[in-house]
Amino acid sequence: MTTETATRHIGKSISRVDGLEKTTGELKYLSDLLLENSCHGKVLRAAHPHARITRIDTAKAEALPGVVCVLTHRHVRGLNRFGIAQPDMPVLCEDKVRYVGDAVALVAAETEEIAKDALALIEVGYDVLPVVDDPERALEPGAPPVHAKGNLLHENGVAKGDVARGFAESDVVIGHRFRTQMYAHAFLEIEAGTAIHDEKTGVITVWCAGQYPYRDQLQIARALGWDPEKVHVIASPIGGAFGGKDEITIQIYLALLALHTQGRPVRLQLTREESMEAGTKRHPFIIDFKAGAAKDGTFKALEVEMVSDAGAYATLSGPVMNLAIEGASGPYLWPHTKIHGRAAYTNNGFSGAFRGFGTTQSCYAGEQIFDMIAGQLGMDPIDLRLKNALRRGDISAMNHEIWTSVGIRETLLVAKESRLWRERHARRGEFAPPLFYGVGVASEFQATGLGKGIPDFAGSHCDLEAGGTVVVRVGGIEMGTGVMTAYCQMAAEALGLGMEQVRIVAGDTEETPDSGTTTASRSIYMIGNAVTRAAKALRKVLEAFVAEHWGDGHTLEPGGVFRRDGVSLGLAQIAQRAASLGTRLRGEGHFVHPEADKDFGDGLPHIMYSYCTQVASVIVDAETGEVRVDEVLSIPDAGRAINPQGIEGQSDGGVVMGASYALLEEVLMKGGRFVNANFTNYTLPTAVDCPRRIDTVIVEVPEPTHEWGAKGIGETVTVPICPAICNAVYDAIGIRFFEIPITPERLTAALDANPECKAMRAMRGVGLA
Amino acid sequence: MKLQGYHTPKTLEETLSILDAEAKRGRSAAVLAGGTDVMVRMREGRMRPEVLVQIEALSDLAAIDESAAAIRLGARVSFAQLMTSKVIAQHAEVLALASRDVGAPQIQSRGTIGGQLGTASPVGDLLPPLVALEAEVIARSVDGERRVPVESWLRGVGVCDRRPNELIMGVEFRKVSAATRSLWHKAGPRRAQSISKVSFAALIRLSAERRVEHIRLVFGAVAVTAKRAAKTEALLAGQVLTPALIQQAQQTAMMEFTPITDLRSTDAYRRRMVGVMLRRGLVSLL
Ligand SMILES: Cc1cc2nc3c(=O)[nH]c(=O)nc-3n(C[C@H](O)[C@H](O)[C@H](O)COP(=O)(O)OP(=O)(O)OC[C@H]3O[C@@H](n4cnc5c(N)ncnc54)[C@H](O)[C@@H]3O)c2cc1C
Repeated sequence: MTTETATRHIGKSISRVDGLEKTTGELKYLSDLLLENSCHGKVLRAAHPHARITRIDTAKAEALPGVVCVLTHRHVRGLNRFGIAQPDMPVLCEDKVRYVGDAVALVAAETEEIAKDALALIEVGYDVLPVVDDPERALEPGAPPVHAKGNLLHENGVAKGDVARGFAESDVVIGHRFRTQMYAHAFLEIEAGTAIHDEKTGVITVWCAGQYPYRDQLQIARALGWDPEKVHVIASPIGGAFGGKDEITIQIYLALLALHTQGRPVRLQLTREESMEAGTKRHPFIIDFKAGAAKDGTFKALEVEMVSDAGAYATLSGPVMNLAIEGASGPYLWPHTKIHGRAAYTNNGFSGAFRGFGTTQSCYAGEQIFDMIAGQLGMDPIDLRLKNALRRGDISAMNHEIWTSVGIRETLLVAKESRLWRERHARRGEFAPPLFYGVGVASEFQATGLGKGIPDFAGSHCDLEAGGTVVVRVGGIEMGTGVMTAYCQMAAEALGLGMEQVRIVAGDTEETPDSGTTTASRSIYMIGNAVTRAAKALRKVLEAFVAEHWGDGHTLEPGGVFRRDGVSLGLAQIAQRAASLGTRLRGEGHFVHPEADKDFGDGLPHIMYSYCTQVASVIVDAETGEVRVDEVLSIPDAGRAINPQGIEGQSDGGVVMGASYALLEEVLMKGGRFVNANFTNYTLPTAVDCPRRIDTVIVEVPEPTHEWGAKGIGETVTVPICPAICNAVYDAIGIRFFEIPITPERLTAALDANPECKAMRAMRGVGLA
Repeated sequence: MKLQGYHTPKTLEETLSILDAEAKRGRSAAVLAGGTDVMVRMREGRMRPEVLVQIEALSDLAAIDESAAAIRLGARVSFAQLMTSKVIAQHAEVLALASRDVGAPQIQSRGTIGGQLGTASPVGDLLPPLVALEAEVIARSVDGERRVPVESWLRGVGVCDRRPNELIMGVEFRKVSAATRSLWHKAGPRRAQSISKVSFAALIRLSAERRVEHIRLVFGAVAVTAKRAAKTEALLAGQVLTPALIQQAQQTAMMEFTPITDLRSTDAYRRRMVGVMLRRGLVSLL
């Protein structure tokens, strides 16, 4: 870590380098690309959530004028499977369909309309199988198997001490069962892209948003049975992903189609409905959460049992459950723990990576239980959390030492001193029935990076190019989080340049080095380290080059000017000399993530965490059941803020997304079929549904293993807000919700069922109930 | 069936003869006004017209006309017009209040009153106000013009009284007196771009001693069409409005409807909201 010196860019709120072109709409996303002479693709999806395929006949579709090709599993020459953690998802189903988004055939045609008509002409015979739509029942003996190996996709657990003893030593023990809903990423940019097969070079180029272009390249090549070198993937910029473009979406379809269009480009764009049905979701969870504490609030024992509904395929369900396990303890010290979880295959769509990655679910349960414990003990909920908050060097609930930075205590102290928290009782009096005011708090720690045993590395190149511009190359992508601006800041700072002297090239398997996946809140930390090291390396290269060609004694001044005896030498001049000599002036930077000393498989545990506390106030209308989030205070520990404005943006968006998880959004399914797979009935919040006010206070507890002390906060800012709102609703009306979202229907039904809760008593007092 | 034709008639006569000719040929023709229902439904396959008749050239249909006692709205009058018109603010405020809660600015600019009447959705937000205003729908074809009260125009979920060769010309209703209060409330899953779970429009005139002299209470989304709470109206008519009477009215109204549970809400919640909206509306008059 560098010591605190004056910085020019780091720690400054700087507008996004891509902000203007995004605001004006000038920026072209990969889904905007329409090459001349393109064919148009369509995907035939499964007609049933669970069925055996008896026959596929494409003759009629092929005969339709304007159809260029119709492809089935027979055209998949390599491995007809994909999947990040284990490839169990068919590219094109050969014998069985397991969810309604399963792809059975592909069509390319002269127009999208013809392609759509052709889909209707493909005949697929099915033997319908019983639908598995409940994850707990899926795991019972005798349940119809979704996969030949059975429905248990993943099982893992961690333990520390002796929970039986811990509960025996507790003065208060509280346990409850919680449920979470299926949740959609609902990114603005629907999956769309273009591919072309260059018959001369033999290379297929795929332009399609994806969170890890190098892994997409590998999965495409594996399905084609090709050398990855022959597959060129361009994956950035992305119009929103939130984890939903981590797994392969349509990249393999694009590549397959491009092989059968005689060198013509092929474009494929899903519909919103198709995107909702076929794409990744956030797992519904069933969580039995039990915790015990001593009279003074000291946490004693924690026992958690979870089942997640993975849907039809594995993708990242194992790692997601692992993070739920890891996150279940919260950022607290526990002497005795037993945490266990299973992921079940069902026919309910398929679930995978989603911002928060499993911690969202276990934090939602745990932070309510901890609040209940505080209530039972008559303790201030923040004091309870402070009493148990982790410190650097503590042994985690999984028995490993957390030797990285820990800022949870600092976030809690900001919350405790906040106006929102201090005035929480006083403000109650401003509201009369049917309106009730309440304030809640919750904290989280979010594992960052890929975790134990999973290769976690990042590379970056920094080149001085013609005209004196420094070009930073990263394999990571921009999906709206603002990382490109942060990379620019870090490179410019390390080289002493202005922001405008640095340009970023991202997410292209031919142009950029492998920087790993843009997930797991890892970019600022991992890629940021690689970029900074590459920039520092370039600085050395430049100094050596200048010494060699213009002699010793130059000093590098801000703005990239080398000076000696009043004579200055600019970067453009240096670049010109290098070009004339055929020399490439490049710095390379690499970083490998540190690892924990314990190993529970599939990335469990991590060694680095981001921390966040959020406070929310709500106004509940006990007649209409509507919950309005009034104010939110979001307090992430960023290690060190590279771009405070960027963090505020992430925090605002995270809060809105998490509030909607608590109150509004739910993917509804019935018998393996989607009920509200469109934006008419899958209700996203609009601007007027957002909290009235969101404030972000950034806490900085520098992380020693980062070049500037930074850590990622992209996920943690969306997690505690949901239980904070649940706790605020309890504070307001005296009812706990063990199921989300807390819709007006659920809230009013709960009021009717709890005539003795504090809200109902107050309502009766004024003749409103 | 695929779309086979797209007409852009320049005059009313031309429009009517196209509609008549298409009806005689047995082709399903849909009038295209703002398109905010047509485009959505065609894409979803819920509506499969063989021809579209676009009526953008019929500028007369975009007028709000005021006579001494009545107001006439052309079928192409948009939500945005209703929100900003002085005539509406003065004589039919309930339409402006409801329009403000429709969609968002884009839909308010495109969507029309003719489209509300043509779609005849149980959740059409202008329909409860039009029923409360006792508006008449004016429909015309080559055979002549008819007037149908909105209540009988709306026949079921997505079903209206329009004949295949008819163009909706607009609606007409008597001006609301200055002493009459307009009430509007909409509950949806969110606060904008929201499909009503329950909506409520009312026109109520009280005497100086709060005796109910005129009352129309209409609910949307709790029956197959926008529907008056007839029993509750009868309970309140001629009575002096008191907290006790309001409580009684709330109970009566809740029992008047048998709403359904669907993906947007539950029967219990809808019924509760009928009572809450009525109570809050009436209390605001005290
Ligand atoms: C995003 C979105 C949000 C929406 N929000 C709301 C809302 O909050 N509340 C609400 O009530 N509605 C809402 N709607 C629905 C829609 O905007 C309304 O129903 C609107 O009134 C339709 O008017 P239009 O002019 O667009 O009708 P069109 O789509 O043009 O037509 C609708 C129907 O009426 C027929 N029709 C139209 N004009 C005539 C005529 N003159 N003669 C004969 N038939 C005719 C058409 O043939 C068609 O059957 C929303 C729609 C969208 C897309």
